[in-house]
Formats: sequence, structure tokens, C-alpha cells
Amino acid sequence: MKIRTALAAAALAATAFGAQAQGATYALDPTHTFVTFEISHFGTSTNRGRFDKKAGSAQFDRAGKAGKLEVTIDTTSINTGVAPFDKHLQSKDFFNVAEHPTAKFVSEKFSFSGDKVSEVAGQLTLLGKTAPVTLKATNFNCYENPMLKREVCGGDFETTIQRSNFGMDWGLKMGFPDNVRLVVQVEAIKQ
Amino acid sequence: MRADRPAFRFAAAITLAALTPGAAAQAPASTPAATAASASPADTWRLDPTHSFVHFEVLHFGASTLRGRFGPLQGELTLDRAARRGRVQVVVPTAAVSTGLPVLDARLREPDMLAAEAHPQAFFIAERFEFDAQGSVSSVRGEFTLRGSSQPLTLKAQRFRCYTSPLFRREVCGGDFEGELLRSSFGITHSLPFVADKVRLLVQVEAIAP
Repeated sequence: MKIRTALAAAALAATAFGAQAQGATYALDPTHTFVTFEISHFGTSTNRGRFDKKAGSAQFDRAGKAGKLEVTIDTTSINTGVAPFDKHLQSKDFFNVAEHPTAKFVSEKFSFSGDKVSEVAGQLTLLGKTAPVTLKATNFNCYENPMLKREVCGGDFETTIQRSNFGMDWGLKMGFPDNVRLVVQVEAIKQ
Repeated sequence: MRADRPAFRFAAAITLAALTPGAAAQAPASTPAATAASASPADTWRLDPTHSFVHFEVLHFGASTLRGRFGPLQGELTLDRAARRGRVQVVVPTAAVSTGLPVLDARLREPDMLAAEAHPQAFFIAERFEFDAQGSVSSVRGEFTLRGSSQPLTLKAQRFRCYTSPLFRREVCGGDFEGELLRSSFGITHSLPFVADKVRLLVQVEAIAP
């Protein structure tokens, strides 16, 4: 009976992680994890902003070339350096933070180039709407952090989304751009 | 569509006000005041504080890029597109560094980093403007002063454009510029080589016509 339970548990675990090796758990380092967005201003210069509060974790198996990631962004923490612009971005016209205080990115598909992560494909939930988003790596490295004395893996990722896919269509008819480039710094500490 | 136009126009005005309220608030006041303070009021453009920032990027342990922001930038520009000449003078308040991490911001203000107390301002003064065939600014070469050290710095335009701002009802010229510096050449050597020496600067700048 006990053996059967153990086998059933093992089978469940195997199903949960599919053919992928489970790898180790990594906690997102919030001091080296930021999402910066870029949107064109009158086709002239680029407005940038970032989200200062976020949390998340990852499963990462470098040898097995597999990974999972979950990141929650606190949309109230948007920061452009221009307070009235932040306020407008928090309003119903854009992030509607009163009703949607978080955005979420979940991925179970990491692609590799050699032993480095090259792409992370997943689902972005913003304003309660979910759409597929693939982040492309422009840097990736794992290193032994001398202060933490632990392995840290991280990189730089980027993608361009259409905000209208998430129902954020304010100003589109007036010519404000739909495309928003996301530039993501992420580091995670092995647990 | 046509029936909706006045509504859009109204909405556009709100948007612009919302997107650039700081500038909106400053625009009427600064017209006489800033002009009076300027050396040559007739041709001095001033930076739009809501669209003038510098972001820096530096690689952390060869893994990910640390980013931070300075601004709003303060400054003035003279631009003679016909003669293909220009001069820009930008002041960067160093204590206003913003990485999203208050602890790191405080560390960056210390004497071995930005030395914000001894050197509350960094400066970029440039008089060598290059223009492309269409008359757009393609690069700006000048001198950058940080922690009291001055080094040549070239900012290359990734894009440059002039347009009539519906908010200011004036011509606005601006763009995105990028440049690179070695922080060690300004005496900032902390955390080398784990945090890279090479710092990439991404400059958003828009200037409002006189």
C-alpha cells in the first residue's frame, strides 16, 4: 500500500514536470530584476519607465535545458521619473491599477543556445487579459555570487508587445503608438 | 470618424496635458523668465523636462544589465540648421540618480561613486554637431564632466526629428542619443570587474523652440 502510494506520487511528479528534469529552485533577486518599457513619443524620442516592485521564482535545469518561471509585477510601482505621467499610466486609461494591481508572466518553455538560455516563451497577463509573449535573450550567464556564496543565473531579455492585445488602446486613434518594447533584466538565486 | 474628430482633438489635448503636465505648468511661466535668463534669448531652445532623461546601463557579472536614470535634465540648446551648427549645455543633477532601489541610489551618491555632495551636478557641453544629408542632427561631440573630471564624449543620434507640439504650439526638436564611457576614467572603480567599466548612456532629449 505504501509502495503503491509512493509510486503514485512519483508518477504524479513525473506528469507534473513532464519529460523535463525538475532542476533546482531559484528565487528571483528583486534588486536585479526590472522590467523597463519603451514607447515612442511623437516619433521623436523614447519615453522609458520601469516597475519597481516585483516578485517571482524559477525552476532551472541547465544540464537538462529546461526551465519554468513565474514573475508578478506590481503595476502600482510604475516609475517614469515624471510623477504626473506615472499617475496617468496608473489610471483607467492605461494600467488601471485600482482594478488590476498586478501583471503576471508565466513561462514553462525555455529555449537554449548551447548552455545559455536564448528564449523564454510564456503567457503575459495584463489588465486581466492573457496573451503569448516570447522574450529573447540578449545576455545570459550563471555565476557564483561572492557575497551570497550561491549560484546566480540571469540575463537580459527583450520583446515588443502590442498594448492593444491587452485592451490598452487609449490614444491609438490619435496616433499614439501600439508597440511597446520591453527590456527585462532578471537574476535569480539558487535556493 | 469625421464626426468623432472634435472629441479626439479634445482627448488629444487632455493626453498631451497628462503626458507632459510638468512642462505644461512651466511653459507659460518660463517664457519670460527663462528667456530673460538666457544669454541669447532669440535663439535659445530649452529642454523639455518631461522628455529629457539619461538612462545608464552597465553589465553585472556578465549576466544582466543594471539600469538607472538621471533627470529631468536641465539645459539649453542653440541650433542653426541652415548653418549646420549647434551648441548644447546640459546639467545632470547627480543626487537624483534613480535605479528603483533606494539603497543602491544612496550608495551611488557616496564619495567613491557619484560624489553627489561634492559634485551635485554633472555637465555635458557640446559644440560639435554633425548633421546628415536631410539636415537632422546625427551626432554631438563635447565634454562630459563628472566628479570634477572632464572627458570627451560623443553622443550618436539613434533618431532625430522636429515636430510642432500641439501642446506648446511651437517647434520641438529632439531624439534618442547614445554614448559610452569608462567609469574608471572618472575615478569610479568600485566593484570592478564584476560590474563592468563600460557604461552605456541612452539619452532622451526634446528641446522647445524659442
